[in-house]
Amino acid sequence: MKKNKVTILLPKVFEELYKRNLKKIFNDKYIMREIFFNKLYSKQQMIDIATDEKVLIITLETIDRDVLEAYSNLKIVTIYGVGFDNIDIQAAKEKGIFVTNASGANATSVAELSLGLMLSVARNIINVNNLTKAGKWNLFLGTEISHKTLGIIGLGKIGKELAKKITGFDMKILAYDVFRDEDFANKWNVEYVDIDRLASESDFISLHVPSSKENYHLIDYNFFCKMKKSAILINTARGKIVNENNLIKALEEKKIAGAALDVFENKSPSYHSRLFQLNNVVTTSHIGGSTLEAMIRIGAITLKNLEETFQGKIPINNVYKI
Amino acid sequence: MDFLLSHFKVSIILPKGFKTVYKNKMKQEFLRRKFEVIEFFYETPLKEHQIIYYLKDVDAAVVGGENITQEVIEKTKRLKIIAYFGVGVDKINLKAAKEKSIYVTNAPNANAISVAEFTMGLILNCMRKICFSHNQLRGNNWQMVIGSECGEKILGIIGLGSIGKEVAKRASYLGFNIRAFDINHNYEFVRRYDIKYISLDQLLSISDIITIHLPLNSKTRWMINKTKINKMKNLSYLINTSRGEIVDEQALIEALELKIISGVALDVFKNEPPSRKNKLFKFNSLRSITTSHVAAGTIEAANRIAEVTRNNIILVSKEQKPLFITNK
Repeated sequence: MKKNKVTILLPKVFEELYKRNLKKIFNDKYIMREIFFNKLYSKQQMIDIATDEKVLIITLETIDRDVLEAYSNLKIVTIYGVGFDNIDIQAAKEKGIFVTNASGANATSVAELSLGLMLSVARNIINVNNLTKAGKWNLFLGTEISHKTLGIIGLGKIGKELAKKITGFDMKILAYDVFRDEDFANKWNVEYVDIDRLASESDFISLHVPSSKENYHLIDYNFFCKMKKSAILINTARGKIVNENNLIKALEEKKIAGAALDVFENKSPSYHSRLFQLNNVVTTSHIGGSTLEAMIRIGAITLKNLEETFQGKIPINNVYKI
Repeated sequence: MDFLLSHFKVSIILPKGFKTVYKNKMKQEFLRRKFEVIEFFYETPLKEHQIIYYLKDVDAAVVGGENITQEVIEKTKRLKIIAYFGVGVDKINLKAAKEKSIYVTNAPNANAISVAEFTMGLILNCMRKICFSHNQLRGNNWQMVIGSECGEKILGIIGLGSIGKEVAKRASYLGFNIRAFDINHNYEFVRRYDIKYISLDQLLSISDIITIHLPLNSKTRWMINKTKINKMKNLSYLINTSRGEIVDEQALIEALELKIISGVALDVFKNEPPSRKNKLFKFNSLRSITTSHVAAGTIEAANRIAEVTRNNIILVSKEQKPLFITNK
C-alpha cells in the first residue's frame, strides 16, 4: 500500500521526545517530513513549504484560507494540542479538509500548571528564588490558598480537572460556564454562579474557556474592577480572552493583587510590555500542555485521527460538524 | 525602683516581615495590659550580645530564628518565658532554659498548611520548570520547556507528622503514589490517602520526588547524608522545607554537580542567612530552586502564631502556665 505524506511541525524542544517515543510509529505508517523549529513558522513560511502532503500536523501556526489553498492535496490538519483558534475552520470545511485536535489530552497538564502558577504567585516563589540567588535573604509573607475561594471560568475538561485536583486544598469552588454539568458540580462541590458573582467573590480566578469571538476580551477592566483587591488571575487558556492593556492597568492601580500568564494576546509578545516587568506577575511560555505525558497521549490520538481519515471515515476529533 | 519591677516587660525580636502582624494581633493587647514592650524588628539576625541586651531584663521574650544559647539564657535575670514565633525550637537551648525554669513555647500546627502549600508549589515548580520559564521570558527568550505530570509519580514523604500529612492530603488528589517514612505510624491516615509506609532507604531509591518534613534533633541531624543521597533516582528531585541541617549540603552540591539527581528545591539551609559563596545558589532554576525560609511565611500562619504567642505571654503575666511548652 502506498504511504501517505505527512508534514509535522513541532517546537525544537520536542525533537528528542518525538524521536524517542513517536518517530518510529509515524514513519512505519507515513512518509514523514519532520520540521523542528526554533521560531514558530509565519503564514508565508507555511505557504512556502507547501508540497503535496495530505496531512499537516501543527501547533500554533496560522492556517487561514491562503495557507490551505497552498496545500492542494491536503485531507486533514491535525493540531498537536487542543486550541484551534489559529485555523480558519470555515475555509477548511468548505474545502473538505478535516481539522482535528486532541481534546482532553492535555487537561491534566494544564490543570496542574494552573495550580503551580497559583501557588507561585500566592507565595512569590519565583521572586524569592531569584532574590536568594542574588544573595538577598528576606522574609516575605504570602497567602494561603486553602479555605479560600477559587473561581473557574469555563468548567470543561481542563476546568474540571483543576476542580478535582485542587480538592486537597479545601477551597470553595465557584464556576461560570454556559453549559452546566450538575452531576459533576455536585460530586466535586462546585457551585455554578454568574460571572459577576464569580468575579467579586473569588480569591483566585483561573480561565479555562476556548478562544472565540464571544470570549474575546471576556476579562476586561470592568471585570478587574469587580474583582477583590487581593485576588489573583491565572490564564493558561488563550491570550485573547484577557485584555492585556486592561490587565496591566488593573495591576498598576492595584485593583487586583497579581497574575500568572502562560498565554499572551500576541503569540510573540513584546518583551517591553509591563507584564514582563511587574513584580507580581508570573509569565511562562505557553507550557500548559507541555509535558512528556501529554505529548505521548496526543501522539496516540493524532495517529488514530489520521488512520480514520485514510479509512474514509470522519475522524473522531474533527472539530466542526459535517 | 520597686515600681519598675512590678512592670511586666516583654521583648519582641522578630524579622521585619512580622511587624504588621505583631501590630495587628499582639501590640494593642500588650499595651492595654500595661506591659512594657521593647520591640526590635530586624533585617539581619542579631548577634549574641544584642540578644543578651534585649533579654536580660525582661519577663517574656518573643523570638524568631535567633540562637538562644546557654550564654544568653544564663545572663537573663527575670525571664519566665521564651515564646518562639513558629514551630521548630531547635535554635533555643531548651536544657539551659529548663534549668532556669524558663518556659520555651511554640505554636504547633499553626503553620502546617502554609508549609505544605509552599512545598506543593516547589514540587510543581520542579515538575513544570515554572521559575526557569519565567526567567527565560524576562530575558527576552521564548523557550518551550517540557515538564511532567504528577499522576503515577512516586512522592516520598520523610516525616508524616502534621506538615507531612497536609502535603500528603493535597498530593493525593494530584494522583501521586505516596510513600512515607516515619517512626510513628498512623494507619488510619495512610489508609485514607492510600499511602504506604516504607523504610528510608526504600523511599530514597524509588521516589521521583522526595520531600522532608522532620523536626531537627540529634536523630535527624545530617540524616540525609552522602550515602542516602546516592540512593536517589537519577531523575528525582529533593525538596526541603524543614531544617537545613537534616541534609548534608556538601553532598547535595556534589550530587547536583555529578547529576546524580535532577534537582532540588530548598527553603532551608545549614546557615541562615547562608553564605553568598554557598554553591547551592549557583545552579540555574532548572536544577535548584532556593528560597529564604519562607515556607511558613503567610499572613494566615503568622496571625495564628501571633494569637497563640500573645495568649501565652498573657498567661505567664498572670503567673499561669502557658500552653505548648516544649521543655517540660
